[in-house]
Amino acid sequence: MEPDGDLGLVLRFNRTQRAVHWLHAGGFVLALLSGLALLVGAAEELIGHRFVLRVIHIGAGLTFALAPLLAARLGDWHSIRADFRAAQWWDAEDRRFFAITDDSGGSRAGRFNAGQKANLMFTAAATLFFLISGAIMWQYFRFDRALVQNAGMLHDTLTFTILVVWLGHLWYALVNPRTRHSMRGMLSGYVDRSWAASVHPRWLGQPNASSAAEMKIDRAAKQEGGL
Amino acid sequence: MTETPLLRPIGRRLFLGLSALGAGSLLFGHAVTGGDGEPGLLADLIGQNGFRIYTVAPIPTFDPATWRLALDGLVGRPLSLSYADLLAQPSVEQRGTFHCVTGWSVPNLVWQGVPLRALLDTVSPKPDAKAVVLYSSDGAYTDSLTLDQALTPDVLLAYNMNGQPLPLNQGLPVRLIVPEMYGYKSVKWVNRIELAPSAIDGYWEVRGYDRDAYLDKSGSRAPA
Repeated sequence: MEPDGDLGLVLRFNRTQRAVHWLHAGGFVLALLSGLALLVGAAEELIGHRFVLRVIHIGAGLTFALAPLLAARLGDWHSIRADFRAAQWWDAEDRRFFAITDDSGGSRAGRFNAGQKANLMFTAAATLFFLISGAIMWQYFRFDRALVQNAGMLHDTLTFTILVVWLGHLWYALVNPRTRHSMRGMLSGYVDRSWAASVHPRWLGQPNASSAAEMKIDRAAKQEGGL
Repeated sequence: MTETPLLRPIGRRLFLGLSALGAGSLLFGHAVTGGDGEPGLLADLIGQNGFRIYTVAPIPTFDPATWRLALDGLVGRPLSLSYADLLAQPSVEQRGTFHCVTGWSVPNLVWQGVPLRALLDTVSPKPDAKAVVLYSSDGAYTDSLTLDQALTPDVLLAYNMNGQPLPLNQGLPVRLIVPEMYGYKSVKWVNRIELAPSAIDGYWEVRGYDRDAYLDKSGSRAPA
């Protein structure tokens, strides 16, 4: 069913999907570091230069929130939409993922398991409200003091929440032996077919139309671009 | 069961639920928390006494023996006060809430200090003096008030907070307190007060902040 199955590799994330991820990730790390320096009193006293930190933080925040959208618009918009759609709609296997009593030894994931879907939805909502609350703090003089205060508290709460979620994300991407292979998919685009069969069996069994199409496009591009 | 999986918008509900939570906290968070900022534990991590310490340059040192506060510019009688001179001035105590533009507040603070108005009266501003420029001994921070704003009775040069001398990172020995304005007007480590023909853009105002720092955007705006 899969073309070129003997290569042993399967396209997991196309260029647009990788660009969206890494723009978001790079902006996030810079915004997190500069934001913590702005937030934590001891760091602030050590570093000083509040204005420089603030400029970096606002730039990083805008990158984190908006650059992925721009990349998606300029690149393969449909593949991004398909992933967001997949994260919104959960089937019976997804619902079993978080079930406490599970006698079958785990659910069979599709392209994304339910944890990844929840992560994407959380990240989207958190990013949206980081952007809104950050914009209110940035342009404080246009708004009521109560709103500015609420925005500040929401921005802080989101920071502590996303820090926990991000550490979990890093654990699955870098440490957890069963899942860390997926990092290769986010770096090169491709993952081992055998890994995908074990961790995302229903994705490999029934590749959705868009990811099959992406694979062809990506392969064609590689042939053109390569020697 | 997996042949025709029944799809439910659980992820979408998660997104919408979180968004409702976010929008709710933006609109009503103030009412729930009473507007006092984070609970104690977090506040201690990120600040001190409920304050977050913001600096734009290294924190200046303070030596009571050599420190001076200068009042000069468009004045009839320039003044230079030592720390002991400052403490010897008639002082007032006033209770207030400190509001930062970044969203945090510290309620129920008791400030003790000298009303700026009293010192300004002492130096006899000249008729063309229309503004007061405050300088911080960190060498970087400045801000200004119009003379009318500076003459508001509750504008204070505070040296005690809650009965204690100011902590070093909160302005030791003296900081400005402008109760009706956001905290960036309340210059820390004040060591010079200059009477000037017009207000200037202070440190943050040069960098995009509003020169009008009134907490209440609708009312209580003093004549410029």
